[in-house]
Amino acid sequence: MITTALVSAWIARFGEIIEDRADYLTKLDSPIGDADHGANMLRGMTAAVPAAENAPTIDAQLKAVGMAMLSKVGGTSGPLYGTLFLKAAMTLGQRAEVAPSEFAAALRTGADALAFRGKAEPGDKTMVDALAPAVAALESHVAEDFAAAAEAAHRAADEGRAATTDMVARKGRASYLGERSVGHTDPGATSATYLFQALAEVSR
Amino acid sequence: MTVGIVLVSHSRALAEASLALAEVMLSDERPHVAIAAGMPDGRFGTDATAVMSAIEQVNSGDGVAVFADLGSALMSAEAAIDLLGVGDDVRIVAAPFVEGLTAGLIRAAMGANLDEVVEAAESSMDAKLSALGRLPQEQVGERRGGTEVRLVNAIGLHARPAARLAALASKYDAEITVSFSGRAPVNAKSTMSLMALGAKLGDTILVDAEGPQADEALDAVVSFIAQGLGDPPA
Repeated sequence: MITTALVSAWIARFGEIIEDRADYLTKLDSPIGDADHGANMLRGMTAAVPAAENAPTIDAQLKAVGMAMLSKVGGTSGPLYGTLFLKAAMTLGQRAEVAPSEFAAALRTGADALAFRGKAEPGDKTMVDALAPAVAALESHVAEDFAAAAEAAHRAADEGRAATTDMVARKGRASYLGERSVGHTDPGATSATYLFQALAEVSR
Repeated sequence: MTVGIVLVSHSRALAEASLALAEVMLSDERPHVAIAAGMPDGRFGTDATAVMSAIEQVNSGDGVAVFADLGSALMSAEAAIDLLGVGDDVRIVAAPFVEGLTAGLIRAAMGANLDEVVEAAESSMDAKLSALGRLPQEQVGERRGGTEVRLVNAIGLHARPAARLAALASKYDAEITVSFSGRAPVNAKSTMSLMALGAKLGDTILVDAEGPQADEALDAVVSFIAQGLGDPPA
């Protein structure tokens, strides 16, 4: 089962990775964005981690993370990650543990809502390029073993992240650069990969 | 009727200055306005929860028009509306920030409904295109005739008289145009377009109308202009 303890650990680990990699995320965001993704995500996660720890049920944890991202991030990733977590929370009901398949379905709902909010499709060089394959991998392996499914999701996210390097940006400020965005890995796809790296690490 | 106005911007300074600039056009009436802009530490950014509070603060039941600058401002506004679960009475305006806010604020101050405020704001780009002579040719159209009328009020087609004229024109089911000095006709329902004509006291403008209520509209608009657009005669 997926428990509140696991969700707390997941969000805390995601926060640690963001802290470690904040400068790298900002560096990725410099040539093709406004050079704030690392600092923005760090501000969001600094609020999200304690909020998730203090919430009594999984839906409340995800909601608290979503609200923290909405209000603290400041950039586009705020409403996007906010939507991901809030919409995932809404599918779960007030429970302290949920089945892995329900958890995967909740993330699917959240990821779809995020893509809708950003009007982004795979191939647009956005976080969707990491999230969509990650959630698909999680769903397709979740019946076997959650740790293995989370590992598969992380691998899929990382492949999706790497593939953004050769893409032409079609969304956000990077799209103004057109062909000049090629050769740069998308910072949003990179932070989304960390989300699944964190899930894989705490699920082992 | 008081449509609420919400400004969503990356920068509090930008939002406050845009509002101050737009408010120059108002007389006594002030619509309910709230700003959700910038981050608490002064950095650029938007906060969807602040947008939610701003919408709730100005929503008196007649609807809210949300003006957003770019990128995350639009997305935070969409997330806020989604989370509030409000219906079609809270709308994000698809208009350039300064022009749209100016046109929408004037119309809201005059007691227009939400449809009219949004329409005024969303047609504000035409005014800029027209002022620069870049309205697409097909919008110029072939006009059969129209009625000439001279401006008799002291400030001509300035903000408040233009807003009154646009409000009057909006009441008719007709496409009403105003042209001046041989330039492309503009939509008489758009305050900003009318202002962009730059017509002053003593200038003669050409009014034309097409559609189901064209005749009534033309009569009403021409006589309103001839009587001074609600201003005291010069």
